[in-house]
Amino acid sequence: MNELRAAGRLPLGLIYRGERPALESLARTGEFAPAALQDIAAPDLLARYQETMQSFMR
Amino acid sequence: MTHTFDPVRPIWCAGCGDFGVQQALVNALDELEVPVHERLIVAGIGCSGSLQNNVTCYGYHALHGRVLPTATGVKLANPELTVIGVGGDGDGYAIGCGHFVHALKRNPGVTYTVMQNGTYGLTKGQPSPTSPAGFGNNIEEDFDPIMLGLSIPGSSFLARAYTGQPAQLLKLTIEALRHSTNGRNL
Repeated sequence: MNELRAAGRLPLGLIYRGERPALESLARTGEFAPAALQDIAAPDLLARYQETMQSFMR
Repeated sequence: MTHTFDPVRPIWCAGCGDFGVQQALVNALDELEVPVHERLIVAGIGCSGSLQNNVTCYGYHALHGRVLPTATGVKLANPELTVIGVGGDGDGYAIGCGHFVHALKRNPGVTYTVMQNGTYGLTKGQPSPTSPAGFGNNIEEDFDPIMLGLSIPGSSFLARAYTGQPAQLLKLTIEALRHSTNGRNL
């Protein structure tokens, strides 16, 4: 690519395609739904929230 | 169909390449049959950052240079969305360059299109990071984002197109969207 640039030419088209998995497919554990897809109408949501917050107060 | 908002008239100058990018993006989304309510465009600051105003989709006008961290957060919060970042070379490679590097490292399932015209067009033509030496009073060598992308093992889709060749631009946009929505990309 350096040689092309030196000649005043910019390569167009697909330059590189790899196979590395995307961030979200590696980061998601499956234990929880993604933030925007969680069921915020679940009846026990508030109780679970309070329980979680309580677990941080030791 | 989910109603989002009504597109507005573009503010770009006649002949601007941004028209071609927008047309390719819309055609690619239609070709891939991405439902309107699953399209989210995160746009940067600058002329190109108004693109999401012209398209029927969900849109987010990010802080200057913060397209990629915003788009990454969106994709993590809702992987079902087709997330597209758009911006110019000033937004992406000047104030946003740190985020550009780390987005390539993280490789989120996001398509990022940079409308690169080699100048700060909105503010009347100052040299940008991709302006060649000799452009105006610019004495610095230019920045090549593709070469940077090639230096980062995490990056997984790198392409460059010219809006004067719309067929190739459309094909690459389709391929980029396919790549970003099948669990790979950036």
